[in-house]
Amino acid sequence: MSDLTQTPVCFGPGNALMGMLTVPAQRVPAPVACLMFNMGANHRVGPRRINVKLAHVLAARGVSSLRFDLGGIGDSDALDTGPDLQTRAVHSLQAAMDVAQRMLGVGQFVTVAMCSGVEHAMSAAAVDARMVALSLFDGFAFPQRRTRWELTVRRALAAPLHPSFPGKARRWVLRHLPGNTATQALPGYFVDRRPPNVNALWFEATMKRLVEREVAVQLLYSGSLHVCDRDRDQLGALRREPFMQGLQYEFMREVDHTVCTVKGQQLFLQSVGDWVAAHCLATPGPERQGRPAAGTPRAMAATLAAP
Amino acid sequence: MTLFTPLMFGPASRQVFGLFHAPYEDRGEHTAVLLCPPFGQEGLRTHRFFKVLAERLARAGIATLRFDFYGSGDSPGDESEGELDGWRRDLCAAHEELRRHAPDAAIVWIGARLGATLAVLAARNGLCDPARLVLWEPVIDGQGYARLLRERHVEAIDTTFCIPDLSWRRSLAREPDALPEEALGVRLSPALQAQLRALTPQSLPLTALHETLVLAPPDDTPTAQWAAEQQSRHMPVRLAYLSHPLDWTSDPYPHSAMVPADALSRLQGAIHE
Repeated sequence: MSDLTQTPVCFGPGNALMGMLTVPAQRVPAPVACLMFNMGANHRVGPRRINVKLAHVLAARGVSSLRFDLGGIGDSDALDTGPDLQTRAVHSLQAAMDVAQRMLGVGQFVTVAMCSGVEHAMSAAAVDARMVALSLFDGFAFPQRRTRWELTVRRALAAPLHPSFPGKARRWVLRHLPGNTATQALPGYFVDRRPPNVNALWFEATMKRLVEREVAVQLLYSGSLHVCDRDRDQLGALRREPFMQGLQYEFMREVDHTVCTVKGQQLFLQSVGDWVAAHCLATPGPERQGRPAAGTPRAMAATLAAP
Repeated sequence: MTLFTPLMFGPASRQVFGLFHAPYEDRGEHTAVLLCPPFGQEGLRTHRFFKVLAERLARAGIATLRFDFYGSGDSPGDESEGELDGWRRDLCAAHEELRRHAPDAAIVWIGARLGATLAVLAARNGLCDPARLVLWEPVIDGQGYARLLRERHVEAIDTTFCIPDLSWRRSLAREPDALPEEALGVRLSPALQAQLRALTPQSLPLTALHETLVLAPPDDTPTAQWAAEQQSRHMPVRLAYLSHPLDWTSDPYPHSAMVPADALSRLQGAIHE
């Protein structure tokens, strides 16, 4: 691994948020930095420590990164800056950009988001021009009838051999028992639940807005959701929309939702690392200037040179 | 407002990340606590638990340090460099860091799973001097632990893919006692595999230099036997039972317990028993 420095930092309102800056030690950092944050209840290191591994990959290629906990997750205290989870998550992301801007001297960011974090990243990008590229893993999906039917048939055929089938069947039955709440997700815990059609309208409108602003987008989908993908199947009818044609789309059959296997991690790091590094190392256009940084970060004194 | 201080400490060539929770107020406590996290997915899984425990202890006037072993969590290093001897030195470096922040306190180590095992190994080494060990479900059979991780890895693959890769399960059936090269998202270095293979109850003798409290589930007969053997050697060790709903190896998720209140209270109380 190339040399890098890691600096823990507390930032945001009341220094409530906690993050870790990773900077290449022996080269001039890229003009665009990378942000990473939580997937579900995992803390800032990410599922299977994937954010740390990605930070090391990016540092080796000259890209700085900040991984951090949204308010109320990991080591960060809950923010009291907005009426709902989504607003507070956007505030956390903006505070992360503020501190990275101040400490790294960069004004543009690529954000890597996973699962529920995809909505947070898109929302922040929609309101803050400093976010110039988004890598979105297993976020919004709108598979249509053919795709869903194919999945059902393939799963039905595989079910007799599926070692986890009895457990899954039992959980499905439990979920559908009247009055059962034990296996239902807690409302509004990580994402505010919305009907699928509302989600689709929001996704389409937000993505249109981002594309118009020339925000680069990478859409990644794991093999946990499906076993094949013929034609951007997870996007459903949206895959035909002209504004979606410029987005990078990749179905990663051998990567699972929590990047559990080493092989899956390698594929993820290769795809995301390449894409993020390419967008961070590109010279930023003059039209994309970030807004002035706000707040005073509390930088920790300790830095280190990793071997 | 954050009430902890993030730190990097240890030798320049092997720094590790930690979070120091200063006591909220001086309550005349002369105890400090070093939290030693479990390995791999178990460590990620219990991050929130130990954060809450550290905050509770700090609120009770007890200085607390939690940290990530080299190559794990937020610490630098690649997980393929992980092995017990280096982690044992990390634990002593963390002890010295806590000593620096709380110079007059008696330092209690609370270790969970492989973190508890490392606490036994580090305390026996004599380079650092805990006043007391609290060992929560210590790993005393490395081979059995590796097999458990491997089985859970296969279960995770089965569960996460809607049509799983059966090669993992076939491999487990073919060679049930093979040491895994990876488990639940973590690479196990060749050195760590060899160390786990050699880790047995007989290789973990306690010393009389400090008191030890072992917390284990009621059905954990091997750990009870190990504690009884230490008692027969006149070591100051006590076994207590602790049941909890925390699943060490699962993903953090709202459907499963992340910070079971009973376990939290039990560990908080354990430092003075």
